[in-house]
Amino acid sequence: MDEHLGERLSAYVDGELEDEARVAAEAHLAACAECRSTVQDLRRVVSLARALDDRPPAQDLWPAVAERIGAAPRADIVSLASRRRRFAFSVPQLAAAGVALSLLSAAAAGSAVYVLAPAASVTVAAAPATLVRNVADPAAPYDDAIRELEGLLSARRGDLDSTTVRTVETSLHVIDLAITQARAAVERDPNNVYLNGHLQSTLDRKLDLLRRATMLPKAS
Amino acid sequence: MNPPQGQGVPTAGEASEAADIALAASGDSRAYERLYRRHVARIHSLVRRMVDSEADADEVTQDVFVRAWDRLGTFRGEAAFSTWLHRLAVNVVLNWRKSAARARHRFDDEPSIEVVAARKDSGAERMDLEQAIAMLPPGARQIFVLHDVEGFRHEEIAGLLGVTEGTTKAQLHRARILLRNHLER
Repeated sequence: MDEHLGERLSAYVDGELEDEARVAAEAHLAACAECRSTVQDLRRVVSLARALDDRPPAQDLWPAVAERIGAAPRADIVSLASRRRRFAFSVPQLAAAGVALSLLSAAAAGSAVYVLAPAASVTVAAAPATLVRNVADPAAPYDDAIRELEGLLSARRGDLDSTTVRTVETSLHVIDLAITQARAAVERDPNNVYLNGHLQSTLDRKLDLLRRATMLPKAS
Repeated sequence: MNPPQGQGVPTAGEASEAADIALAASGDSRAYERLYRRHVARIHSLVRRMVDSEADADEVTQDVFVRAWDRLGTFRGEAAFSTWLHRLAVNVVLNWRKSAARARHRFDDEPSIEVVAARKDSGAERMDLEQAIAMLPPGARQIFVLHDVEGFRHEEIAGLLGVTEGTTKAQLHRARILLRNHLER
């Protein structure tokens, strides 16, 4: 009997032996009960390893991660001032939209206090309260702004690099799907502060993308 | 606008994740928290199997998600986000292991794998395997986890660890035999 196969057994189990080596290994296995048994055992170990379950950490690590990335931990009171906003509204409708959605969400939260980010060039006092109360769909003011910016982008489409246009359209499509989901969730649970915030942030994201896309330079 | 031509329409879950990635990349920590919660079990399990304690696993998992936050802007979508995050986690944990302050080789020649009693049903076997993996010598452990649990190829592991494929194959076999011996008890 040849000597036992040793680590070649692992290569055999993994199907990594070349043809000649595999034939030789199979010839040895046909005559060696010990190596056959080891092959079975190794297959069992591999099978168990592939079936291991994932489990979350014993404690919630998010607060520590949030602190390290400079984000406020998920708060009971959502403050827009604590969010990193990288754009400022420049269209009057956007101002109305931001104020309306913020106040609507605050009203839904009951006691929650919302503060507009200093970076947002929006004057709260300029928004008539009646506007807020008369809005049936909290996203409606966004829709007007979005339509306006989409019109601008459509008019500029010919000026932009085709790859850039494709990237923007892909991103917009993805965000639109997320907005659809968020709207559906808010319709099911209109007083949920988290869902309203999610819808608002997703709409913000679309506005931001559209605004930046409309400001892109002409393709050279 | 219509979806771009030539690309499949993403599922709702993919779209939601893609939107969260875009939001997080622009600084939205709430979107990033959703990504964290979706992936933390997978990442923590990988890390836990590669380090020496639950506390170390917690620390390294935090490092992974902080690093991922910093690098979200480099995610181009060529691979799935889970794949990108997973690769990043492997790099973080391997670097963590390599750091001189955490060089822990005391079990290299004396694996303490024999001390755990084995059980026989498959659920208990998996639990037992988890415990046994934690007691493997560090070198054999990381290669076993990367190859048999995470599905990396020898060539990739050798590149990540800076060793030869011969070494990874030998260490893998060593790990499997140690685990087999443990499960047979």
